[in-house]
Amino acid sequence: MKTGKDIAWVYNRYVGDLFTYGTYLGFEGEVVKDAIHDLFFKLSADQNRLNGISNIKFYLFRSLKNRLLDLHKQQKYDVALEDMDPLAEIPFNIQVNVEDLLIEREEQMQIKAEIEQMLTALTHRQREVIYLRYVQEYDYKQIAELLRISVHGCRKLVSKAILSLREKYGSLITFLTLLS
Amino acid sequence: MKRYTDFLKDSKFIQWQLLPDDALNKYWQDFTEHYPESEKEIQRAIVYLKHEGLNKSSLDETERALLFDKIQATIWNRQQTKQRRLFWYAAAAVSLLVIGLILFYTQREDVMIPTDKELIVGELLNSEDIQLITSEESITFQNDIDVKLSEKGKAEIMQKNKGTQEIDIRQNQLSTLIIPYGKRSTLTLADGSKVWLNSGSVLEFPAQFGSKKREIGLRSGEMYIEVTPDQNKPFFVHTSNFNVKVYGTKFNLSNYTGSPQTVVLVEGSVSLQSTSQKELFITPNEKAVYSGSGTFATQKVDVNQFISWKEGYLSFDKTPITEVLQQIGRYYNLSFDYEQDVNLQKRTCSGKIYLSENMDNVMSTIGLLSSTIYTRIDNQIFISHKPL
Repeated sequence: MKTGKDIAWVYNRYVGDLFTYGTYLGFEGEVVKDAIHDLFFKLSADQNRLNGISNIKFYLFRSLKNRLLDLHKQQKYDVALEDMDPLAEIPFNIQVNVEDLLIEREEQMQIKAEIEQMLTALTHRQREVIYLRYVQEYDYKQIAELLRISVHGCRKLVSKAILSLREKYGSLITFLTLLS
Repeated sequence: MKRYTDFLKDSKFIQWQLLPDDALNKYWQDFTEHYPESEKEIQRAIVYLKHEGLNKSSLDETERALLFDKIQATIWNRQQTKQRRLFWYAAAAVSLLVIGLILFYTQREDVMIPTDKELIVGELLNSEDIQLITSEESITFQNDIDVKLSEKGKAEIMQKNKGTQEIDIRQNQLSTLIIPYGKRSTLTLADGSKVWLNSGSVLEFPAQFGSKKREIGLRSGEMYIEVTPDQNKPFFVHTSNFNVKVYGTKFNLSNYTGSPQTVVLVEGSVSLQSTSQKELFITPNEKAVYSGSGTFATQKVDVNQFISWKEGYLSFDKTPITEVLQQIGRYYNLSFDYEQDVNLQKRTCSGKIYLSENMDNVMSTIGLLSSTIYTRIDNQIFISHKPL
């Protein structure tokens, strides 16, 4: 297939991001791998689908999350028949990596602590929005779809996050005032 | 001037990146206007944060490849269910071979076969399983293993990425551990002595040692061993041509077909006994090479060069590229063809090479260290001169 969109190509390009997203959502590595397995298997079943998808990365993220949520529901059902909204409980924790910074260990830990502190000031859903927007560069419409909320609700999550950080770090004195 | 790491420490910077608002945008705009020289460092900080800092994939190369193998196998499985069984087995085997090639091929789409006549050509061979043969059974392992023998005739086997299992080994029988090219393993013997086995090795060992002496045999390949001292029970390593008698020590023994048999002593004391010569003692940092006629030639060496393989790297000092490729070839299961005698084979290589999971990285490093160019197309490997 010379469209450049065969399974191996897609796999190599996105499997790292998919795995990261899945583990950030709080799933065990093996569970995420199983979900990735299932979604690529499904994708291979219909080559036309592969060629017809305009945004393959978004399609993969959405399928992965759906698959993981399904697994999560099943698990919940298996473990305890609790009547809770499975969506509300999904965590989102970003792993901060500083290992490949070529600086001393102490300084690495300082950076890690700084970023982690800021991330913990946010809610799980806020962190997910930030990850999808900042790291994966999705637009609000796509993020809203991934979170199963409205675009409006998505924007509200962001402005609330901005407010929380302002509360934590104080509102900003402008740079020019600092200089004078 | 601020470095990119300083920005990564700055909460205002992180805040601006994650959740920009007007005030933050203004602040950083002013900042770059005042310090235009920091623009590059800011960019670097942004790139790091986005791609590594917050999005480092914890899926390593092996897991990545294994998962893809599994996906492909499932796909094949479905496609082949209607076919005859026998055919399916063959096809699945072929598909698994192809997968690795597809994976590599898709990563380098624009490679060209070097046209230079000066080429060293090699081939990536299929991987084989590690085998542990006891008097009772024969077990195979796809990944590297660490075997630990206990005094009660049990062997605990830990397979990389797969977990642990325990088997019984009959006490007075010899077992054999076969490590094919491309694999490595360790074995802790009943007395606590630890053996590191390099690729392409065959080792015979008992589950329990006798009451008078301890004996194992390296039929081929290379091992490094740290022998637990025991004055009352001398330790012997047998090879086809000579025996090494040990008095509590650390040493490396290389016994590859086609290469000279060598012993390098790291610590303690050993003696070598060939059939035609009386006992020869060697001292630490000394290398003894078996001459074939029953004698040994000894010389002082830097032991690190000979034992670094067990730590996952190789170190070379003006080593001919043919020798380097031979060692790398055993490690990754590559076969090189030296039939065409080209000048390239006289190149030497100096430096350290870390033996990572990614063979392409390693081969590219060799290119850097020996001023050659490495190209791979599927499982064919080409090494050529660097254009002037």
